[in-house]
Amino acid sequence: MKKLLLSLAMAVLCAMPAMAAENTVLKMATTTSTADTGLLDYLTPLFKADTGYDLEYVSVGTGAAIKHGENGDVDILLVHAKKSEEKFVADGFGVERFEVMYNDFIVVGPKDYLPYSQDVKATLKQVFDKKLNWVCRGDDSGTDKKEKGIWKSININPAENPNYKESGSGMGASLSMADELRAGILSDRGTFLKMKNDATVKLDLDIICEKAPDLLNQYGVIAVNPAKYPHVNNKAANAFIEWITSDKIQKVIADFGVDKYGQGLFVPNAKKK
Amino acid sequence: MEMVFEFFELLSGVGAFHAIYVTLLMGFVSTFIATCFGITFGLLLEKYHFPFKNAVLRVNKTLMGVPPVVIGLVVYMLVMRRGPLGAFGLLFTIPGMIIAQVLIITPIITGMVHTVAQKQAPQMRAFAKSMGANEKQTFWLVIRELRSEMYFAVITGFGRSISEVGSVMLVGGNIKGATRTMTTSISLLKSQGIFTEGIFLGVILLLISFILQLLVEYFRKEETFNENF
Amino acid sequence: MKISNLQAKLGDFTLNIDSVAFAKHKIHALIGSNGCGKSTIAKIIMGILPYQQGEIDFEGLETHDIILASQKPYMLHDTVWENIVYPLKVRKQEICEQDADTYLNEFGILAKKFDYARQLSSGQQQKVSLIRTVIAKPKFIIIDESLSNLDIESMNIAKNMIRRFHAEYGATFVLISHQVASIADMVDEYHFFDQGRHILSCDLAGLKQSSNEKVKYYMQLQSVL
Repeated sequence: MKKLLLSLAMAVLCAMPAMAAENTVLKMATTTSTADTGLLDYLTPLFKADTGYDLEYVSVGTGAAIKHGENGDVDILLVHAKKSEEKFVADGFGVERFEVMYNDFIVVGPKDYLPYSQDVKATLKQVFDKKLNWVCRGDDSGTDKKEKGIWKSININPAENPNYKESGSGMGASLSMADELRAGILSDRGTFLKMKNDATVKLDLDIICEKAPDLLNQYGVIAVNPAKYPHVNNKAANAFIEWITSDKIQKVIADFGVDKYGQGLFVPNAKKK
Repeated sequence: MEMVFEFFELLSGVGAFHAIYVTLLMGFVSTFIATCFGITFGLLLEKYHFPFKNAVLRVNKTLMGVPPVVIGLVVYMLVMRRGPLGAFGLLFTIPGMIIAQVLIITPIITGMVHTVAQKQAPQMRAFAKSMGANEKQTFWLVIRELRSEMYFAVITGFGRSISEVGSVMLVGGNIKGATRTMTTSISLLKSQGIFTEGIFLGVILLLISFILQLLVEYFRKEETFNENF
Repeated sequence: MKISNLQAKLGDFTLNIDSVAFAKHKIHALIGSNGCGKSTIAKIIMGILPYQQGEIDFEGLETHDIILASQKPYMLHDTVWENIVYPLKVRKQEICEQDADTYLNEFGILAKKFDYARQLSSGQQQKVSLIRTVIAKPKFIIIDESLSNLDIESMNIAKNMIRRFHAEYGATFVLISHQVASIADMVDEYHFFDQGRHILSCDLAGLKQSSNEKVKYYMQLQSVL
């Protein structure tokens, strides 16, 4: 009897690493924009079909996503804040950064808010000078960092505008707020197009500023360093990187949203791994 | 000392003190309004019989358990710019949050008051009548005699109000320095990966909850202490 | 007070009274076995229970003139003192602390004056209830079984208090009891009830001589007499 129990225990102990090795779940931390646009939900079943891995993702602000990576809570990051990403790799938390795709930011606002322009600095300056309603994410997300960077580059503290509000919410919720408050807001194009088309109460906002070079938004993918956190599923992470940078999936990304919005939400630009 | 000062600086930097202020303001005002409604409804439902009374009670019981975020969504749709009450501009304001809170707490206070009144008011009324009290005096006696249960209901309501996050997030919008409460602050701080200030706010909420607990205990003391069974 | 042709249905129980009169300034007793409807009459008089038919002639008595001490006295969630002065507050009468203290002292619960009433024993609560009935000097007092819960000494104190109060203010008393013996020395008229019916009203001698089987049986059980 004792022997039987012992051998059973041994069998279980031996099986544990084997079970871990067969872990088919890939945990990802990503930004709200990839989730809010529906891209990830679209890619998840394709990823499963091609590689057999289940993609589970949490969509949070870039800051929080990187924090998840630093804590070893996830296996891989898909985010868009180049500087933070490079620091993440330099600090030894990540293996290597691969560019995947980009989308662009736009400034949207209600009718008669500001004339259309392709100079984002001038647009934001007018917002501040005219004390127009403005909603800022204020959640330390990639979008938030982008916006703060632009304000900084024109030496304006936007909080001095009495009609400036920090929503502390994701892109979708902040867009709704801007719509409600008749305010301008910096958004990624994907979430805006989706909210404009799919929301129950369609956004009553239009593009005011786009195509400025400062508005490009590069997404990178980084595997969390298994040397730092041995428990991460590095095999799955590498499979994802290989998969998403492949020609086939790059094409899928390029086509995503075209049928619905008449334009793609993301522009793939991966260099082959 | 320097450290304490720096810590406070840090907290006011993330708007912690304003969040405490908003939370308490919302909690007090919404609890006050919900108390007026809840106690009135609770007592009326106990005292008067009317068609569909049981249905009303059942609806109230259901509302007691409704997730606040659902109420938040309903209020959002009512007060949004293109909603039926959009003209009042209540979305993303403290009054808007108070409306949502009142809708959440009123059923709770109504239900609690009704339950105890149903159990105890008949004998109180019988007593008042046997002492020769008139209608008005009877009414006040019932209120007076149910006071500790009412305190309990009110404190429960207040506790719910300040600890709620779903509806204040939707209706309030979590706007920094305006409608950001302690709970939505914690939620946001967490999403930014900042835990220290979040924990501080959490401790404040715990502290408030502890004080409420003490208050409830104080009001109930005479009840539990050597009651004659 | 006069009750005539009264009918009250309460669930399965029906109360029928052809005619009962509580003559002024007398001490009355409602007697009968448990469930005969004694307490129900008290509650109907106080307006706590409804009735379907009949008439109660209050003969000029106002709501404030009548007080009932219930079988199970309700104690306010407050001190003994607050419980005692409640009828005075209801009548907006001046509170005479000396009066109250005298009563409390008589019953030996003066020391409990500022104790929480619900912490008293049930006997002590009965005493509070009794003091509460007389303190406002009402004209018509119904005491429902309050005496039977007391020990013999306290009961004598209570009876003395009732006698004295009766002598001084001439109030009408209605004592509800299932023990004739304990109150026989003070009652003027008995009203016998059986299963919701009023059988007869008479004095003690009348009870003893009654030819009614129910009264006979009842009196046999009250063997002390």
